[in-house]
Amino acid sequence: MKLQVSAQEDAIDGYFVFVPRNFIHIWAGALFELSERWVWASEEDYARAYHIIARLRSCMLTCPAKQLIEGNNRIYRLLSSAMFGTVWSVTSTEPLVIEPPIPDVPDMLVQLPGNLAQLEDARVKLQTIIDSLSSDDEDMAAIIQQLIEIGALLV
Amino acid sequence: MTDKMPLLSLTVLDGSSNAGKIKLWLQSGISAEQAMLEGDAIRSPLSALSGATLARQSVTYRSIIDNPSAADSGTTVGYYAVLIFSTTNPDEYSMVTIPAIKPEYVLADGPNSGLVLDTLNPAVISLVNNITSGIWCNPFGFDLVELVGTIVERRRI
Repeated sequence: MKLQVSAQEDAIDGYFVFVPRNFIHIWAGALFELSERWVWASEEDYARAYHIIARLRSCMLTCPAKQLIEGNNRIYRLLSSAMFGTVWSVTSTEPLVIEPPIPDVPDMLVQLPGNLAQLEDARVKLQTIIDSLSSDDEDMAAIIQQLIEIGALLV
Repeated sequence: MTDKMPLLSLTVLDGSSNAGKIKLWLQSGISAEQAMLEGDAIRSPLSALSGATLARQSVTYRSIIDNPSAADSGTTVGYYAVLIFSTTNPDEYSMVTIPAIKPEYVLADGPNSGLVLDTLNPAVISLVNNITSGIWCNPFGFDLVELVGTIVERRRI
């Protein structure tokens, strides 16, 4: 039976499919028969299928899974650096190894100079001010100094 | 190179859509346009004798390489390079396939190593420039414009 393929209005309505690297050659080769005219019921079906297969072949290797996953890892490291002050270092390029490894569960231990660490530092200083103001031994000079430091942290 | 006679091929279908073929060879030197006209002219007298109906007409010109050079023993026609081109019509493409691709033209480094052609190789660039020179078109008549991707495929022999 000849195949038919309908026209598609939305050009990006599709699916991501993971193809193991060692199967790419074979999977791409299997598309060969589908690009033959005799497979399709009409000239319109053939034309649609031909261009779909051409696009499939051309984009099949534009974004390997490893690149996609590493892209996600880079976003994680960026956020982790900004929020937790995590410092990353490349220990090897072939293969790419970056330390520390990305944990399954985020390490919430904040380190300077991460944003969360600075906020935590400001919170501790404010708590100290509140504690000293609510006690009898407030030291205005020390309080002012801590407020200045808090202001610097929040700049 | 030896040129063979142009072959006129008429595909006919019976009442159950089963296909049959009528083949006629033309004299050498006849142009493609003239050959198609001759095909048009002979359809009627042929059809008078056949209960089938004409579905397709083609003319094929063939040349045979007289003394082909030896093939590269390190390659197999099971490995094809496919080059995908954009065309003058947006969202239309064309595919050009090369059997028995030589390993030295396949990308050796990076995440796509072994899977695509090395498009910076001068021989590949030369081929692409030739294909996009304005002579070649896709099966739907649109000229090839630019290489948009390549892939190395494995097919059954």
